[in-house]
Amino acid sequence: MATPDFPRIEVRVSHESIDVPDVLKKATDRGWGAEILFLGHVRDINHGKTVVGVSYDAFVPHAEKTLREICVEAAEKFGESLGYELGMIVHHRLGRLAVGEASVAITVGSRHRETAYEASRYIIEELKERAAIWKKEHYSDGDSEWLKGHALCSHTRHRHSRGSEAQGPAV
Amino acid sequence: MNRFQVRLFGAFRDFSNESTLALELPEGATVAHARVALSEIFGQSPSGLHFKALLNDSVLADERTTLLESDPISAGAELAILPPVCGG
Repeated sequence: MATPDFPRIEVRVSHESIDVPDVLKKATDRGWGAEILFLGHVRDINHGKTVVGVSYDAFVPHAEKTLREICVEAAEKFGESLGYELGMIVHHRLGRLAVGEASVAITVGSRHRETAYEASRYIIEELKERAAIWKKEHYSDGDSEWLKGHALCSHTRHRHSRGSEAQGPAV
Repeated sequence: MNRFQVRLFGAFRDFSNESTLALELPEGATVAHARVALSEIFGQSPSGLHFKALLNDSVLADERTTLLESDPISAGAELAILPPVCGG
């Protein structure tokens, strides 16, 4: 859904397949000379194990709120200081995905490419550390495992301190 | 006594076939008290040490924000226990 104060931000965490043409269409503007699309896919090997699929789980309202906050931060950090607006679309899949399927799409539209690249990178890195989303890898030997990740912090602690290290993304 | 719910996500889904735990604590209980109660519940599982360790790296939250240990829990609250995240 769009954020009222930032109509050019849209986030969605759902079971719906990622519609790339639709995502691209929403982050364009005549005044923008750059548009960056980042797609994360389910990878076939992770830490030496053959992956056949990944199941994504999320606390949807919490995750969507966090993603909107991350987009607002990106807009303020990379766009406002230069005096122009960014368009940002973030879609994240839920449920079981096969190898090669897109798990996340991030599109950033901007007047210039530097800002679009910076904002796109900021959004995916912060998503991985802060959004209430989890993944369980399924392997060719029939085993499956929830991946370790970044510990969230309550709102009085420093936001980016971590209680455990990431095992490595399957993107 | 206040009854409330705690939703399970990520690796905590392996604790139970149910997606929600029902807890009951005295009036005035806080998130810290809920954490102790959850630790006792997880400790009853054959994999109790695993879930208790995971609990130490987790936060409690409602739909809008993560919660402080000192935050009170009201009757009927629907909370969630959020283990370390790994989206993308």
